[in-house]
Amino acid sequence: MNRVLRILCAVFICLLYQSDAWSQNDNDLEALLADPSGEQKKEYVSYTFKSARIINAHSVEQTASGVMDMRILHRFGSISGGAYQLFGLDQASMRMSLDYGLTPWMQVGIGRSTTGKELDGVLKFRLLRQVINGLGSPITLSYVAGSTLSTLEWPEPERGNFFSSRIGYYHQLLLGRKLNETLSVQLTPSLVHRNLVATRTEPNDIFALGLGGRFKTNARMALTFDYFVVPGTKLVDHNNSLSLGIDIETGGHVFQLHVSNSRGLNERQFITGTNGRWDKGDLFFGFNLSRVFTLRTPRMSIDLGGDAEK
Amino acid sequence: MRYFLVISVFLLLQSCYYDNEQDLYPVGSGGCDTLNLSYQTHILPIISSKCQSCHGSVSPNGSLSLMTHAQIKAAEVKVRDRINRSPGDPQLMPKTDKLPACQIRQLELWYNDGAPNN
Repeated sequence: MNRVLRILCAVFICLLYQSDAWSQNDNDLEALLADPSGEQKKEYVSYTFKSARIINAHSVEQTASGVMDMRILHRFGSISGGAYQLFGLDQASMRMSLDYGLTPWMQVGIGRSTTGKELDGVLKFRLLRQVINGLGSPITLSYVAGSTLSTLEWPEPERGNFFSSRIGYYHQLLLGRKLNETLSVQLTPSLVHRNLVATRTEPNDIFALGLGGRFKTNARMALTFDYFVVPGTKLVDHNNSLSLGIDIETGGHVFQLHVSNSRGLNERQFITGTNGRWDKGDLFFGFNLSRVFTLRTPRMSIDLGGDAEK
Repeated sequence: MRYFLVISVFLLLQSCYYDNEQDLYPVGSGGCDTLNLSYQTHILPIISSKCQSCHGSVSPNGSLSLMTHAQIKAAEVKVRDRINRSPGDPQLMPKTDKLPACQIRQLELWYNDGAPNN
């Protein structure tokens, strides 16, 4: 397992830093578009992914300034339930969330999952943007910080329960790179902290590494995957979360259909709480639906400030 | 905006706790005993009080009998699956109510240990 992981990581790191073949092809065109002064304008890559999440994982994309992204996530029961359970569709859990772009580089969001009656809040900051030409970052780098709050009734109310036991945190770095018009990849080192765990042997802090990617098949569709591996885990009944999906864009909406061994709806759930297994057919169908609303039309100067260097 | 950032940073930096239920709720104070799990002391009482009324020896529901250690051990996959279903799921067992978190944890840890007959 560790060997496979090492190979996967090596491939991903190579992909992240490989030469920017697609932009080289455009150099002639860029030369024509260059400033008469001779200075080449720095252009940033856009649409590394179709949406702010690859499938479960955050992607380096974020909601534009002044835009609200309403997302509805559905996760169904086990496909192995057969026709009687309509392959899991009889058991749905969902998460509703609102993400808002405060500035071109900062996004805030809140969500609520039916699983565990869990509230979550998230902040996403874009630290670096991949450039198409000239000198600049070869990757897009974002930082995500979030917290989760379970609002379930205490299973044992008579014992001394603490509010802090309901809370978990997560921090992630998103290193994404658009290799060409069809292929994008992302590495996601993550830290999940749970204030209360069941046993002494279970760690409160869990380090995980996420791998994700998108292969665009045409203007409206893309194949996606994301995978979170927890190296040397001491978690009980834990399996790494692997999801395969299809993105379908229909003007303003993005549908993300997927199959996963996780029913988790937030980072705490799918990084530390996945117990389905692909090899046992313990899989779950799910979809994400995203709809964006422009609440505040950004001033041109602000908008350009995020997209192109003056 | 400035206030928002201050509040956000405060929320992110608020203290983490490193608690676990074994230390926080030690045995004897109403806590969950997950150390030295015993089939006779911990597992059998759960199975007999919560499962055997339907999964007995005579025409058990789902043709699954949970009367002997061997039967309970052999039913590991089904038991793990059903006790962990969400409330409202028709396949959640027991049908009356979800088991307390402590009992679910005890069953899982006992199965993890190879379901010993101790």
